[in-house]
Amino acid sequence: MTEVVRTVAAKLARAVVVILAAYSASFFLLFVLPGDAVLARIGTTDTIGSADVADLDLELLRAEVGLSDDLWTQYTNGITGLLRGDLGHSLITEQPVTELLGEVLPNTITLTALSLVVSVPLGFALAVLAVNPRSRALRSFASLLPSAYVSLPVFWVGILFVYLFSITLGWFPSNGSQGVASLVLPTAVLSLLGAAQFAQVLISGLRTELGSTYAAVTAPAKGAGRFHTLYRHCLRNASFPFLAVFGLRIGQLLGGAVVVEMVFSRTGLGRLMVDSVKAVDLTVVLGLVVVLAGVYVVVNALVDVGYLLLDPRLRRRNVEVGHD
Amino acid sequence: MKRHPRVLTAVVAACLALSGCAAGAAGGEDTESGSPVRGGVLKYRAAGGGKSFDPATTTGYGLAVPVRGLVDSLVFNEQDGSFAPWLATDWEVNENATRYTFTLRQDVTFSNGEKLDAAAVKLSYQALRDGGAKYAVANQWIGALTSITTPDEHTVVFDLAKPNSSFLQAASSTVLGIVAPRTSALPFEQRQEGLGIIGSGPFVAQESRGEEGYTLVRREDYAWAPEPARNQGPAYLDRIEVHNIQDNSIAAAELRSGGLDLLHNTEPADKTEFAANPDITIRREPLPGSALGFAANVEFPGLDDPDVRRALSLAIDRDAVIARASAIDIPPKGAYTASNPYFTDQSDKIRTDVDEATRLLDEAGWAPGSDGVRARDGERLSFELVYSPSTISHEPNIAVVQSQWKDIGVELRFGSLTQAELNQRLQSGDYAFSWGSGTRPDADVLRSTYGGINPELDTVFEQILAEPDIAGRRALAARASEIILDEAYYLPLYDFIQPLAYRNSTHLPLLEATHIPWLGDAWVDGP
Repeated sequence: MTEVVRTVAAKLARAVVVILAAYSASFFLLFVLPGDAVLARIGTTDTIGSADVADLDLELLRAEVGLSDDLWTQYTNGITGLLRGDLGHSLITEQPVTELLGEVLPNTITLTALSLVVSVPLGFALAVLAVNPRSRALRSFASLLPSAYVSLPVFWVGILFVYLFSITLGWFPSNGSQGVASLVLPTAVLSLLGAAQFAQVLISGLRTELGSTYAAVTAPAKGAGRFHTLYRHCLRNASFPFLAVFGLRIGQLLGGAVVVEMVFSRTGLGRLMVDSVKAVDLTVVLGLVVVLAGVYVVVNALVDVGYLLLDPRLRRRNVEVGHD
Repeated sequence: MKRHPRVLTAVVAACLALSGCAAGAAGGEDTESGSPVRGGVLKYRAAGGGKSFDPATTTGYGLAVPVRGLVDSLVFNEQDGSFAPWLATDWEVNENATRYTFTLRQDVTFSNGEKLDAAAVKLSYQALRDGGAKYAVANQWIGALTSITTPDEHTVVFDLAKPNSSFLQAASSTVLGIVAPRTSALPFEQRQEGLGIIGSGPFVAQESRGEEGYTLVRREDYAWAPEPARNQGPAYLDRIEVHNIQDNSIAAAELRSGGLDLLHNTEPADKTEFAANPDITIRREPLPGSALGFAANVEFPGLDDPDVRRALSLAIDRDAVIARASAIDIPPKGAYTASNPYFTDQSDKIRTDVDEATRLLDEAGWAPGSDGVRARDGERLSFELVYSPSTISHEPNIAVVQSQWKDIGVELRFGSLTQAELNQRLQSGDYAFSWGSGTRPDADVLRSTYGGINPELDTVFEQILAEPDIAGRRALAARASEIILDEAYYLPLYDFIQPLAYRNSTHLPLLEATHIPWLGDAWVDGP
């Protein structure tokens, strides 16, 4: 029991370090961005000209939102707030960052989770289709498909889907996140992306496994069919490289979600991130960094658990290590 | 808070009564046939919308369009620049435009039941004053306000430290639309949440979909439309749905397919297509303001010489630029757009003469260098044009200028900056040209870009601000535009700022001077 506690404690400590490091790195990097949130919020040149910009006294507003403190004070304020669970207020709308995150996260989580749920089985199916069928043409097609899809820009596919399924056929709404129908197209775009990425890794894994002795010689010799070999033996082994990249793929899926949210005009993390970076809304961007770092930590923990589940050897070794 | 004694009426010595004598709007284009249909939903999209629809921070044209249905203003600004009664039945301006006295209607309520009286108007303005730079645009427009007094329940007096003849135009805008005392009491961040905005307009904010848009519904007891409105009762439309579709081309496709009725912000290719589309109308009148083009930073090396600026203007072949632009862009005829009420045709000042341009540069001592770019004392004629992302669709046209300037040995670089970086560069003077555009149907629209560079021009700007009479302002505006063009502070390219496009089933009979439609009169044909 103690080793479990110790492992969990070590993992938690690492998680805290990762999040703090991500926060700090982003904090100082963001100050390289030209201009500040106060300059972003005073207005566009359409409504306010260059002479007005020069005449405005902005220091008062800077002081109020905390931008006139020196960098170090701002940083320590940010860190202590973070430790208290307070992410501060948006420098643009002045709303609490946690509130803004609370508004967008459910939408993004629904979209990515649903896409993930669809894309994993779809990726496996594609991979099997790329190695199993007797027809060479079908195999080549199924193995080319993921690479082809991955090379298409997500926004382009998204716009294509909008034109085809929404504007031409009128099946689904082109924008917004109201109702279940609005989830269909964005989920389709994203889960196809996820499936294609997973399939790419799985296909190469499966090919290696199918060529190895146990699959090519031993299993057939014992009378196992090709299908049985693939499912019972190769798929599990091929899943290791898949798991290894799973965490990274989640990152790409989130990146894809940002684009998809923009194309489908959905409330979400993506829109908030793009708008906040453009407006140099430091507190909101940092809040998003914390959330994303948290997601990475959790995903990596899940990947570790996945390894343990897939490979009994790891479980045994872990216990031995624990006894040292 | 200083309170002025109740003696305001004494100051009305040579008062210019600008009150309610302004029937008959100037716009002829929007004459509507057919009789209005009650009911129906108007689906609208503007670029760049977010969660907030606080009138005071919603300063761009497109986003302000639906806000016009939510809040009423003290006066209504007609397309010819004159003003008509709205929440104020009568108003007086003193002779140097430092005191404005409004007499309010007595039957107006906000949608939450609060009464619209002098105290409510005062609170509505005071909240913006207290916000300071948070409401930068609103406060720039209000000017040097010293006090707001309410001698009685239906009279409100604005006293200004400096003349501001643009105050009536400001007061007519959505930005200074009157909000309920409950809204005025909200802190800034709560005003940005959407549904907190309570006005007295013909529509009421019913639903907020966060970043994705919001829905306005008709207010059944509305009975105080601006005087020029045909429909003095409740609006024709049941609802107005605002959809913040991000992508311009998707929004354009939605307008074509009927998913939207009204659209702001269109890519050049879609503009050209809309101009020929039998189902869609795209307004061809540019938004009133200043023409589009390059505003010179006269402190930038090279551009400090008027002859260099003139040469650069002469080297632009505007026909070639417009040929590259969309089908509805038109040549500029002055520093103001032709639709600005204060416009005077000065197209003779906007010429193309490449030979003269070359001669001017030669005479100023700028000799062609080895890289093809003219130089003098090691300084090259190389300029950077800066603008915000909303100008990106003009880049193909800017590239035409780039190649025209290259032919006379001048280098032009251009690129979009975030709003924050753009404002920083403008503030620090780190640019050669900025993208000149301004959307305000007022004589004062040029001051914010060309103020502080020429004493004579500054005097004209001051005279404009101290002149409440429309004809007098127009003459001064012509003088300002003349100086700006003669000195080539501004190199106009074309007369075009994003107009509205709408399906022909959408009817917008009345527009205010800003070209924002009066939504109480708007209707959509039944299915």
